[in-house]
Amino acid sequence: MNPNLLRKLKAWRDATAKREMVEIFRVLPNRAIEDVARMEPKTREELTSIKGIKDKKYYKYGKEILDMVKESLGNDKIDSRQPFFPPAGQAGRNIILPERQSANRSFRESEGNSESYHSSLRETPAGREEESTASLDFSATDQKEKIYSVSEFLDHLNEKLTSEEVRLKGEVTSVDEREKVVYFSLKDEKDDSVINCLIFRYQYEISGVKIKIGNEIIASGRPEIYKPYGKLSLKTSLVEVAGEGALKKAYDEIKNKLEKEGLFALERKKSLPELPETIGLITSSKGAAIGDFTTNLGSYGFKIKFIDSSVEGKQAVFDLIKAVRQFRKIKKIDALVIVRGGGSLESLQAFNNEALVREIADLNIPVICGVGHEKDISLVSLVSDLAVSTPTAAARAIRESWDKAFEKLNRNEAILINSFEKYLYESKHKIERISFSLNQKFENILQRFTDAENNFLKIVKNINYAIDGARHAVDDSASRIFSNYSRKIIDTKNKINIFENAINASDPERQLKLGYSIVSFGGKIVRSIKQVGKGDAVDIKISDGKIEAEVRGVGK
Amino acid sequence: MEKTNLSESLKKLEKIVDWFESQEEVDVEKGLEKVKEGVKLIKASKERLKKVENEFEEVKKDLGNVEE
Repeated sequence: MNPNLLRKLKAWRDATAKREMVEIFRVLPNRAIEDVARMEPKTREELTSIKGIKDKKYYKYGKEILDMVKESLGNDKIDSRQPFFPPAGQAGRNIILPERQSANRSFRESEGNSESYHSSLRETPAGREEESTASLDFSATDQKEKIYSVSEFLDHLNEKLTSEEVRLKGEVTSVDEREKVVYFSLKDEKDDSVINCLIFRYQYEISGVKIKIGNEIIASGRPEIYKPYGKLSLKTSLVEVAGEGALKKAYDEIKNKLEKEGLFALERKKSLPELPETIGLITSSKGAAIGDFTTNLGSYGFKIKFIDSSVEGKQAVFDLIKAVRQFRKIKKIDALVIVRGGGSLESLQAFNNEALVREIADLNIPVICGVGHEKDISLVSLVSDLAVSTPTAAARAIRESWDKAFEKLNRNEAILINSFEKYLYESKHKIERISFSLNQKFENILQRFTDAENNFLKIVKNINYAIDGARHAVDDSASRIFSNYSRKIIDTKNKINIFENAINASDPERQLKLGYSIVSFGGKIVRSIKQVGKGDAVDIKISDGKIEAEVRGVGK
Repeated sequence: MEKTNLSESLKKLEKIVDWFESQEEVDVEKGLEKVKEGVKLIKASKERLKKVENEFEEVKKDLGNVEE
């Protein structure tokens, strides 16, 4: 990378962009500039091999770039360039040349000091034209010199002139308003030089600046030779008022007028819908605003419909109006966002354009305007439904209801869970309370049971006492009974004895004592001959013991 | 999930939360029912509110000029 060259290229690009009233990347993107500084191309082929520098760019800037490369490599000697300029017959040329060189150098060195580049601008187009024409068409000695027809030549010139876009300041000296075209002429403020200009009616109307004799205006356009007359005029696409003062005056006038019409009234403002999804976006694809907007939008699945529009320079107002009109046709847009970085009154002219303001006022989509400004708020901001000062703030406005919904959702989720927990806790508490009171009630019942039991036990005790008492009473009376009823007792005793004897008499043991015995076999008393057979071991129980015997035979 | 559904869900959820906050007497069965509904709504809403990349589409410019 050649840092000196890079610096030079950037300064050149800044100046060129300023001159052409376009953003710098429209001249050349950063990458292309860096590639040039790295590759240091020396030929057209090398230069156009760089991405972003096609024939069109080469045609416009190729020579300037190659010159800068050459210069940075130390090959750029004024001597070596001299032969490219037509030598004689152009008296002014020799005087202008050194001035141009010094002017060029000074703007390169001072990185686009506007004064010096303006002076270089006045000379450069013509000078460069001479150079390229000479080198391409007229100085090729080995080619046969071509003879042009007038028409061919004018076509050729017009083709060359299309690249000579210019912004011209001058005083209006004549105006002729026709149905479709307005013809006017501009006079130099110093030396009475005059150029004829024309502008189409629609462009004139969009410009919103009155072309009036004596007014100083800025006309942007490109020169063209009208072939039937061979007359050159500036085909103007936009007229602007010249100077900060006039600009401010124009701004105030339009502002007052639209204010009186009620275009900025609060009651006209549409509110942004909740949770917008489809967003229209108008800005430049090359500026910083688009990045600021999209990166701050969050990730809520927005559908962004984008129309690329220049936001500064003479094309801006046309681009913007076109984009707004296009969005009017696209249905289902929840909000339209127009953003651009801040700027001076002059650089924001497009946003103070009456026609654009009216287009926006006619939209039935809510419009968010994120256009920075220095002192005077842009009229587009005033007419929009929500005006913020940065693209980032515009993004925040779009996502606001989503953020809120998200927060609310989380909050409600927490509340819901808390409520339910509280709920459960309360339920638990209630159950505990109920079970406690149940317990208490149950305890009452138990108590009564215990009491009953105790009572019962007491009663039992009393009964025992009573029984004991009774027993004592019985014992006490025994002697009395004995004495009183001794005979009766003796009788009873006798009776008992009789019973005893009777019982004893039927006792089997007693029978044994009488000489009887009991034979048993296998633990069972033998009652029948059928129960035993020969050889069976039987037990014989007698009164004082047991005899083990064997059956020798069984018979009746 | 459609946008309207999201708004609806959020509103319904709000109502449920309000219900909970307004209850003095605890009705566990009803509360459980509401929580179930609320959780369903939260789940659906979260689905819509989760990180979804934005779609970016450049609209083709109309040909022709402003005067048309």
